[in-house]
Amino acid sequence: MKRLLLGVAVATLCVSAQAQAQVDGFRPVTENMLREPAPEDWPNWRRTDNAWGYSPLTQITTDNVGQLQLAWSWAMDDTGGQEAAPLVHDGVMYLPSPRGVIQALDAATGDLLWEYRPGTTPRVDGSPTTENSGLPQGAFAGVGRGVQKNIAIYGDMIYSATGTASIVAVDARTGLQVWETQTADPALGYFYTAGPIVAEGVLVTGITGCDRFKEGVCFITGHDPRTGEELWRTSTVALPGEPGGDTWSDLPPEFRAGSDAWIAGSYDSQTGLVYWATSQAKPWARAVRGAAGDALYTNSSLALDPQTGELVWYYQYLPGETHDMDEVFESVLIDVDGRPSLFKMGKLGILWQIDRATGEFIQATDIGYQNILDVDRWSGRITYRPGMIPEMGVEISMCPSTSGFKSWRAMAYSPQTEVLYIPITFNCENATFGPTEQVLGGGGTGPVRRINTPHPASGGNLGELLALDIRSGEVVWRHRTRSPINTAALTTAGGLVFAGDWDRHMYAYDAETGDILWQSRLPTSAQGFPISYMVGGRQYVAMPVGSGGSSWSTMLPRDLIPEMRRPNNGNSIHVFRLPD
Amino acid sequence: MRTRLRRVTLSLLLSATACGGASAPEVTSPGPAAAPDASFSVWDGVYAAAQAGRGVAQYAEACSSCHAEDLRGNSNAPSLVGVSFLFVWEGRSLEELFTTIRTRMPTNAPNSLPVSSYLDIVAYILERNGYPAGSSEMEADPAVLSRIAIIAREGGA
Repeated sequence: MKRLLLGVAVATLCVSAQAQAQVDGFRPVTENMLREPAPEDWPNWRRTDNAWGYSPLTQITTDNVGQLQLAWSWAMDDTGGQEAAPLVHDGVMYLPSPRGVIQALDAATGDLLWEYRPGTTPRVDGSPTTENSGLPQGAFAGVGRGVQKNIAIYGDMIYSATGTASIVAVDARTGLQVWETQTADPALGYFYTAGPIVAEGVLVTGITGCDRFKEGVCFITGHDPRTGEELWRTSTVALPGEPGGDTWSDLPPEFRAGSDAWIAGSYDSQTGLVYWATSQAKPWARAVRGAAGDALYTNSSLALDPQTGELVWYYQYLPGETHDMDEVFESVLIDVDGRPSLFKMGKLGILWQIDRATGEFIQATDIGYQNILDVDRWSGRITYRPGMIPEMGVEISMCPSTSGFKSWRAMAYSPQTEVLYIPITFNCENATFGPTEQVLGGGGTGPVRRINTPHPASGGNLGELLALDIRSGEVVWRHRTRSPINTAALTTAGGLVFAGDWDRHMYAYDAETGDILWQSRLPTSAQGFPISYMVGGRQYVAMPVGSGGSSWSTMLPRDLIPEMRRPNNGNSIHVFRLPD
Repeated sequence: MRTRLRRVTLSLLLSATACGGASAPEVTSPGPAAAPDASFSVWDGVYAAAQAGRGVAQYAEACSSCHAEDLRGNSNAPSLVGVSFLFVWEGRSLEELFTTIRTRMPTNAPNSLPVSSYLDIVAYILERNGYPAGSSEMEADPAVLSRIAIIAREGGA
């Protein structure tokens, strides 16, 4: 018996040693390294707390970017939608793949250092990990499922949030799992697509999957990074009896759906606040959800104390939103003429500027593509246009469609030009909203009879990279593409902007003029969050490509640019640098 | 009596069909219901129980990750049962439902399953919506499927 146990132990050790290489000389990531990243590194999902998506590296410039060439590429898991936001720390890329897979790669060569694969990679004590699935593998690449956008690095661990509503810590040296904490029941529909951020030593994470009626609402949590212990939990829905609880008519809590927190937030060490935004209410249309009120805290920015989860202030962009016009996306923090501001753009294509210290409204710029409502530039008040509030069973023609002009593809900011670079997709829709069942397990977004139509001002294009001046909101330049601009934007101090489209193009633009200085074709749609970093004195630009990606990448191209085709697989990352 | 006669006729029609499903035309996005030239409805026993039974596993494998095990859908995937399903599909033909599913689903790999799997899945969806099974298996014949209307209540329109 004793011998048998020893045999098992030896076998376990051998497997671990074989499967897992190591990150040699790993330097733990301090709070300060996250707040003030080394120029070479990309340690937060948008590199810095302010979500600029900006690299200060200057080796690749407007003058030499035309010489970029492939340094390496790496095939990622094809078992789910690919929307990766890789991290780089000390020359190692930590790459989130679909279905919870994380890989550590040598960022100069693409060589694998370790892989964390839920259900296969063991815990640090050798015991098995939970398979992060619970859902069939073959179909996991569906819309929104299997997606793992961002991860976080802090101390000596990598943190992720899973498709089965868990937060996971993995040893950054070995890829072995250190802890896993489930925050909600995935059988109720809860899951994560966005990972945590780290603020003041706390892991802050927002959950999604709140479209169906259930006991429980969406929430943002704070966890202890060392132990996985939950420190606080803040609901994203105002419940009866709470402040704002009367904004859902008299709906009981189980019918207050939506307000999903499915995009990672930002942090400001000056204000000491985490900024996390929320999605629209569910069902989408007021007439369907049976509530006429503002539905707090849907479609809002929430300013949270990362130590306690206390809601310090909120700003609701679209009170009582009623067309699936999500405002959940990235919160870009910029100081404008001394005013600490938060910039946000949602599906409607309205650029909002609010004071991030107080939550006070500053200004709104409607880029002029939507036909649903009017927004007062200086008060932020919205007024729905006549006939545009959906009634059950009555068709309306709306721009954008429920796909939105803006989506999870994050905009980037350049402090050199003081311009925001915004990935846009043009689309409109003839929409007829219909009923759902008002029972537990029912609800959802509500059915829509939908006909996708081209946008009248698009000139037949679906894509646009839009450069907006942050002060005036005026268009500095725009680059239109037949297919959607399908990635986040990346800015660099070399005077460059990088983005890619659904039709497999990757572009390097002159940030000032919008001139295309370099382009390449990729195996499938450019998709995810491009980054830039430096290893061994060489600057690299990494572009994820792949499938999934929701309606911008599936339904819209299918219906509106049917002559274009791309492979429905091919998740991978492609890394470029200047020649030797 | 009338219903029973229709069922018999449908069985004959189903058993006599040739499989022409592969050449079914592309459809556009689900739009306003267009009344098909329907002779039958989904209440006439248009699939076999065994077919719906096979559809359970096919659905679990190919559909449930988005449309959920209970077919009620998720944020980006519409419900395939009940009032929400009927809101989109009432008055349209089974041919349109079948072709839409076959040419668009799964989203990441449209038209990637055998035709028989798509039929099994459609049968399972019909079963979960409470439409009765019949004696013959549903086949991928546009001429037949286009004559079967999706309607809310037996005898209703």
